[in-house]
Amino acid sequence: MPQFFLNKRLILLLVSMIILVALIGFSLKDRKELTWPEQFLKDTTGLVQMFFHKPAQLVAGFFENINDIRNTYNENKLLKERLEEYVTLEAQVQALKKENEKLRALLDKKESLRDFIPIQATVIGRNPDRWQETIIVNKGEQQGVKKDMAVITPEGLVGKVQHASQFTSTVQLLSALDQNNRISAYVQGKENVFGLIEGYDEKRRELLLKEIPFDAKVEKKQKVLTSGLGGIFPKDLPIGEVTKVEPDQYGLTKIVYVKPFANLYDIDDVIIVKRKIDETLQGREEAK
Amino acid sequence: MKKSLLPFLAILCFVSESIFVDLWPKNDLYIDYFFVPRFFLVFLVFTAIYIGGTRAMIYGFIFGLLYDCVYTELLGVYAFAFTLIAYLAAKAMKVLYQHWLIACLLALFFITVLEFYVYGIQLLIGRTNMSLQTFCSHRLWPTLLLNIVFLFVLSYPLKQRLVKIKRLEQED
Repeated sequence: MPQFFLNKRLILLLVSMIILVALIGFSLKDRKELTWPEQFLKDTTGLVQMFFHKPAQLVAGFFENINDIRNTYNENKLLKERLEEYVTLEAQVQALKKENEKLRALLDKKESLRDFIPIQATVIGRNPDRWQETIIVNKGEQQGVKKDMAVITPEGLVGKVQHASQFTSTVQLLSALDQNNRISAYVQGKENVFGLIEGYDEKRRELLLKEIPFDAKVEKKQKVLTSGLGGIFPKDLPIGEVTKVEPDQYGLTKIVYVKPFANLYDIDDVIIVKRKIDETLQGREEAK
Repeated sequence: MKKSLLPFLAILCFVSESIFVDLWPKNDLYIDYFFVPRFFLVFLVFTAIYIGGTRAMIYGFIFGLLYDCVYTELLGVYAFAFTLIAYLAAKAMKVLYQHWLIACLLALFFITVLEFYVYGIQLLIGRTNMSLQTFCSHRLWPTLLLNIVFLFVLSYPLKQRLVKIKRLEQED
């Protein structure tokens, strides 16, 4: 028995297990920022990843292109039909935009929850073990990315920045939504219905919008957008479309199933959204 | 040049995992089943067998730590596992016969061990509520399948390369 405890390897194993537990405990803490060694490691790996990612993507892209060519004719037909709709829509948007600006000028209200500065980023890596769906993008704090910023594709919201290091950042996708990650959102209708996006239904591949009052009128096909009230995301980023409404387990509120507009899995390029209002507020505080 | 060959291989295996997942076609198969590439682990086991335990342990620790920092942000998990696996693989070779097929089987065995270990930790800290059954059917089997294909295609060239590196080192 004493020999058992004198075994150097065994002691080393036990010590490293203790260190392991301590490290896990440390990383589970709700951290605002990563430590600088972590940031450094992330940035260096990001650089290597970028180096390998481009050629690999080119090769993969070639096979995808072959697949695309087969569908071109049908797609083209559909797109031509859509194009006419687009022109009228564009004109409408322009008119509305101008009107909005004029009205805002009348009110002397410059900032809005809606305005944001887009930061274009490219995906350079992905978490291979996929316990958490995260992607790594090639823009970091140096380009103005901060923790918790919204990440969108042209279709809609896909996630938020989990941690930003100097030149790269990690984005947590909506499909990896964890319990303490909520997004304030609303259902667009005659009367807007506000709720919180909480959780992801893996079977239906849809987001859950909870805390909806029981008497609220929510119908299928209605659009769900961010409300901007959570204090992190700008207003009116499209999230998805209502597919199903059901009462929750206690019958006091409703649960709305939301089908995301964006493809949460196939992501190549993203836009990181920086709220303008935060900048103006910050500027004001600094001026004081 | 000779000295940088092994680190280069390690980096290649490490980075290719992430790129592989990124470029894998994102169809229903991808969403329902988890095909986890464990190329680096395969490399690690082969290094432990053909180059030596100590070196494999150093690589295991460094790249395990990188894996933790860059991908999971859960420090220590992979650094611990990779180092231990490198050690065990080197130890196992004292009993087993050094053959390419045995190395492949050993790699598959350690992939299973690693999957269970990471699953256990995720369950313990409450990041997942996957049942053991879904874990086996949706995660373990697809992962093993993917890695068997990888081993089938690339393990022999990898072994040849490592043996060559070892020989070059012994000549010096």
